Amino acid sequence: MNLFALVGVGVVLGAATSGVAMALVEQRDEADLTAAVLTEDVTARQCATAVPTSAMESLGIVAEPVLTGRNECEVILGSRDILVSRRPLLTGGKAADLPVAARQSFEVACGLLADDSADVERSPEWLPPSPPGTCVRTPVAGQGISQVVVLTAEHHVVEIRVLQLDLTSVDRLHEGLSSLVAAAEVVW
Amino acid sequence: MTAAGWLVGSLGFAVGAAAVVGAGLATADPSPRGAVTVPSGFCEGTLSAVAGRWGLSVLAPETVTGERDELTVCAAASASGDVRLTLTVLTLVEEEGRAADERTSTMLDLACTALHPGTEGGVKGDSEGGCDGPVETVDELVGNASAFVTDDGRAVVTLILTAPPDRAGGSAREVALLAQEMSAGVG
Repeated sequence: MNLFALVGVGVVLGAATSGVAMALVEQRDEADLTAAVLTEDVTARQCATAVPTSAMESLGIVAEPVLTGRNECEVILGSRDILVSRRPLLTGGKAADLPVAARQSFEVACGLLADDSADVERSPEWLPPSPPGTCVRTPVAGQGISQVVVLTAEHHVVEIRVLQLDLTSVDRLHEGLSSLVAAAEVVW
Repeated sequence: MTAAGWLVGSLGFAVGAAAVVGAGLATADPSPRGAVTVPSGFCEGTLSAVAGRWGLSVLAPETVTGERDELTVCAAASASGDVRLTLTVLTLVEEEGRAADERTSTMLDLACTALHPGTEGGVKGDSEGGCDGPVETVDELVGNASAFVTDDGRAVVTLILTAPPDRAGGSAREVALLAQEMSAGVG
């Protein structure tokens, strides 16, 4: 066989083989990433565990949590709301900067608590390792008490919002929130 | 085929493979760019106009620095605390092999979820292009909020203006104006 023909065949075969190999490696990377992100989804079972009956009883609520399309567990009570959400911080297969992303979540959640005439107490000195960030809105009459707690775990932020509850005692709010925090720490 | 034939063929194979791999590496993503730096005086300069219109004082900014990213928190509030404007600027670093817009789109989605919890994507804004909408408490409008990525794709911005219901009507315009001013970038 002609020597040039042999070189030509070798070049074509080598290019084809390495091209296919590189494509396969890239495809595998994408598949791994997709799987990693998908496994971060909150399940209905996690949702039920994250909002325990004991917490609801402390808050004087009889309702079941539902899983929203945004990976949140929500107990909808008209204008009142209890929301437990876990946000995975995987970006491009790597975790985002946790303290930075968690602080952003805290500022947004706290910023949404309209001040009006209520007293809004912010506790931003929470950066990891402890304690969790918390922002509480306590109207003078006790109608529409709201509190937001932001927790951090290895690769995600857990946010607990208890909004617009009418409670005669802040102690009941704290008791309910403690149960929710404990449940979230167990589930996630 | 002779041994020389095999040798020549193998040499050709190696040359072909090296050419393809080399071309692949040469066209790989460029080195990642560093974080955009938010300049000193950014908060005062950005919020002074709206603070003047609403009688707010601009509070001292806070910065949280992570391994790669940085969050700047600006706020302005009235003396009684009934009006509050919160601005966060999250500047993101590109990762090796992944462009900044891949990271910003993820963080924008998270910001939109935080701003409008409990709603399906698209209900109060499309997180792909940002989101904005009213802030409501007990069925009353108490403000407006927005999240977007700056035009250079390097920062995720959130804006929240809350006020008593009788004043909250004007918050949408203020938030939209600020978002428009900031969309060009923060660096």
